[in-house]
Amino acid sequence: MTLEEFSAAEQKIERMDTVGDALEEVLSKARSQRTITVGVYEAAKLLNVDPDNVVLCLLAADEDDDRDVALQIHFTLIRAFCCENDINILRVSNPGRLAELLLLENDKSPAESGGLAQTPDLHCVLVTNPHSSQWKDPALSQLICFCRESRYMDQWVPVINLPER
Amino acid sequence: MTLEEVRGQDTVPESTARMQGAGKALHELLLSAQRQGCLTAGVYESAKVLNVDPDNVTFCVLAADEEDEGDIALQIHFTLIQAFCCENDIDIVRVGDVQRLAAIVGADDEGGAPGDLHCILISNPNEDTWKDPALEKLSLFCEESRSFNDWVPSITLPE
Repeated sequence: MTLEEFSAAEQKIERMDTVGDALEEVLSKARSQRTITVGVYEAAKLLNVDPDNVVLCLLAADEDDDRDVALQIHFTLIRAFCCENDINILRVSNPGRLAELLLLENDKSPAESGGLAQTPDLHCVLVTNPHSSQWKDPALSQLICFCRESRYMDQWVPVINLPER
Repeated sequence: MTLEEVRGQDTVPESTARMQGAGKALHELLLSAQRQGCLTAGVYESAKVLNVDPDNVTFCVLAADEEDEGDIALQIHFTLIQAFCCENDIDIVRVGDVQRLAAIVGADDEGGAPGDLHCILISNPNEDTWKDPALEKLSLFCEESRSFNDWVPSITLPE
């Protein structure tokens, strides 16, 4: 490996790590601000009635889910909807970590511990604009920039690995 | 009556003729596609086809009565399928009369219960001889509709 190749590879890995960190930050903040919608059906409902306020869409599926025909259909349709409506869309490569991240927030709120009783559908997660105009999240800006760059390279639904903790 | 009003009236016959032509073309297309076995009916079945073989889909029909307007799940599927068709350059129209649609497409089912007709797809048959004039007419209709921002035009089927 030449110096240039090594440098480029290292730079790319470093960049992917920061994007994963940015995604984690966006999700944590959105969860605390209640600007997050979880589940394929709930997400589809929101996309149907209020697509303009959706700033980010996450699709998450593990190997078992890849054999779920109905889920794959919904992914295909949601993907097309996001592309058609200029909504930034990503795939998460480690859904387990996504579950940890979103459910961990639940543990911090005793009032919400009832939600743990039912396993939430985490295949699709939407982040919407909060009503406060103070929303100037550098992590979200970084993600939007990442999505835009990916689209330039014809990668319409880039894959992100959330950082392990 | 001012000159503008006269012009306004002149457009009415043109629009009516255009709409009637589209309805007749759709009627012909549905019958032809069904005969050739390249018609897919039902929201779930259509979504499956769109998922695995979108390149072969040439036309999409979404049908809903007034009663269906309250069906949230159906409206969600319509929204997603519309976006998919726009994204993949598939001509798509809406029909407001499911009964009329059933009369055309359901007839082939020998005694079978009428299936879900909310979404119908027309695919390319394997034959290279497929040059359906009704399909070409409908494609032109959709292209014209898109030119004045009507992305999913409504068509009334002939009685």
